[in-house]
Amino acid sequence: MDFSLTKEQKFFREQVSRAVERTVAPSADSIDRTDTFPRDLFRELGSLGYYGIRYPAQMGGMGADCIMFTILAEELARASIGFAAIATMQCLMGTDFIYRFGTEEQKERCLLPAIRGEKIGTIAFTEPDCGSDLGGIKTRAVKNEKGYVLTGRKLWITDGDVADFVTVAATTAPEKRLGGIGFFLVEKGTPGFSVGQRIEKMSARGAATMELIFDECQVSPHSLMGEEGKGAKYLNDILSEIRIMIAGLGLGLAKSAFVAGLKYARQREAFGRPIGTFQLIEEKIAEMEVRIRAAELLTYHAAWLKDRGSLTGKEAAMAKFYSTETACFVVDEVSRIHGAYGVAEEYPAQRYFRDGRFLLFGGGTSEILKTIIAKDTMKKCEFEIN
Amino acid sequence: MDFAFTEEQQFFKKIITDTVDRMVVPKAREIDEKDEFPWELWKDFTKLGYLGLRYPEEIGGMNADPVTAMIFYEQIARGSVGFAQSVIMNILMGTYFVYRFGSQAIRERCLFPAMKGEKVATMCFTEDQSGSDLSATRTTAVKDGSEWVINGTKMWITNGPVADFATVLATTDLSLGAKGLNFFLVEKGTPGFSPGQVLDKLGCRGTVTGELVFDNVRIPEENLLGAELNKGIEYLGEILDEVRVMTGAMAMGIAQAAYDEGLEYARKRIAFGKPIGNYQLIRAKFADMATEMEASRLLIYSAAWKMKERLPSRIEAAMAKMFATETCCKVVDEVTRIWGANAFANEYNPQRHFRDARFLLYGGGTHEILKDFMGRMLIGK
Repeated sequence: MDFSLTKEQKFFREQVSRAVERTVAPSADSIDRTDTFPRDLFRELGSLGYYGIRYPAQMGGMGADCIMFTILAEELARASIGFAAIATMQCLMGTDFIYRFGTEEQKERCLLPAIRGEKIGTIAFTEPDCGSDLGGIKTRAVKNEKGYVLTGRKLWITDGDVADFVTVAATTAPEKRLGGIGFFLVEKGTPGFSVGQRIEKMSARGAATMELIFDECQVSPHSLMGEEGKGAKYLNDILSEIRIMIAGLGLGLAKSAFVAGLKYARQREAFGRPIGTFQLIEEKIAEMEVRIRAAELLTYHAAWLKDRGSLTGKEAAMAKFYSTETACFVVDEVSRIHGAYGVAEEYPAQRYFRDGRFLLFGGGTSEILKTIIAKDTMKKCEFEIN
Repeated sequence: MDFAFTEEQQFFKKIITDTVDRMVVPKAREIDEKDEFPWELWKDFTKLGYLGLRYPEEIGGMNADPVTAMIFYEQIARGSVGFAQSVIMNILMGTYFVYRFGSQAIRERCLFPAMKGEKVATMCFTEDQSGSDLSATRTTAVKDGSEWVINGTKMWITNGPVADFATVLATTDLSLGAKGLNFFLVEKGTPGFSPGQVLDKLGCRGTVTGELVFDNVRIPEENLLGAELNKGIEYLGEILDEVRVMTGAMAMGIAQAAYDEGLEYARKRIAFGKPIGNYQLIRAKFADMATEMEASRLLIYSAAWKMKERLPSRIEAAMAKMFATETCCKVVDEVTRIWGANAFANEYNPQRHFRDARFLLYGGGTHEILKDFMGRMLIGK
């Protein structure tokens, strides 16, 4: 066994950490306050090549493994969940379908500029009445002689207001539920495709969440990513990676909040001594640290399994569930350590507290993940470690 | 034993519930978004006489017992905790010492208008470096002839930026710690008394919270609110239990509002072909929430009953405060989970409840402090 990062991974962490400290951290507060897409920052991070982290070097990518991608997610989240949501969307869900199924021309037009940070990509599956239950989507794709006609509404679409292209889940056969879903590439400016209302939200501000409207939106036959009816399977191919990535976001947030709590506990005095010297505060610090370390092990273990090709859905579900719950636990405790200052806008504790919630839903709610873990475990009647 | 409200209390509950539904609930979102003192609602609501809730009928009050008062605190917070805090400040902490120790002239100038909503009251304990630890108070009161001179800065003052008068905690002798503390009345317009920065905060928005600055503020002798010098902490003890249980009651108000939202959503939101309320994991959340809310209310109302009967209630009040506000935080947490991503869309209420709940963890003593206190009392020195 060896729990240490390789030299390359270690070097990568240091490099990312420095870059994030220099570029993202100083803007974190203003991203949260203004809730606007940080375009300059987005470009700057693109020029460093991070959006291509998962893609081959010949496309301008880094060809990195899942452990390194998780490191990137974690380091970004330490500074700003809002920006981390934008950047990870670009690295993974927003671009992956084009990478796997796009024509050369589509890659030229969308993927390569996206890797450079010149175009913004996003993915759209959630609808007003369906989130974790993907089989329930109502957006229709009807085949005609020119390709497909898309009609429907998508909600909670990250970067929906600024995205240059969207990978949209739509069904060609609603009665088949999951078996009817396909993904379609729709570019900005396509007639019938428009941006609807913005969802004002308390977490992950800066990453706008929008409604997207498809009103008899005609797209070409090549817009279908892969084959009809295979969308759910394609999504499943990256679902575990998405969950590990979100677990990484949880870790990053938990660590920043933890450090803020430590600082405050050392500096704030009550009854003549720092509050960190009281047992009840010590207890919080110990609980937080143990949980963060456990979450870290679950997360990187899942990433390691992914890199070895032996990941099952369960490990990713466990990592996402435990790491995001840990983040929510830590931000709660850190806000308590801050006392009333835990709700004052001048300290980041309240931002951490709000941001924690964002991680609970995307990639599957904790409730859904628990049923996935349990169902998998119940298949065999033994305790197994992969 | 008898766990039922009296007929009068039941009637009161119905009236206040309807009033809050009609006047406060429709304004809650706007109050939160604007984060300004809601003058219009304040004027309409205070006409109804509730600000005199706890005071005797002969001075225009409602003479409500502690159980009835808790019903009020719970309902008003169910409507809007931002508004509730401003109202309750006038009802309880902001006016108590004026009522208890103020001269007739002071009562006429401050208490009676405050009971009618014509003046806004506040109380100031907290400072930058003293919260739960009152003995660290650095604001000083020095006697100079027939006047007191107050110097210091207070933080986190509810209604501070709009208050017409403030009951201020200050020490006459820094070396005495908690035994040197007294309450003083300082009125708006007194030279040297001014509002400082206003706090921008996560929850309980609409209650304006800010800094108050006392720079050589000279007040007459009679503004010392206390029969004897340096007994401030003892006098504070007279309302401490009520303040704590009141905080618990407000927590139940928020919890109820959130719970109701959760219930509606669980019934109508469909996943995998059936309402999410049909799934065991969601049902379990309601079972847990309802059980803990029921237990919280029993702690709150039994502590209030003890206060009414003048039985010892210090530990019970701390228990009620801690348990009810923790339950509230848990309920708002679970309700945001039930609502999924919609829980953090600002167009719906769960995110407001989620933010509001946090504020109640601190006022009346953090739970770390309360646990330490309770443990000390239970174990004995």
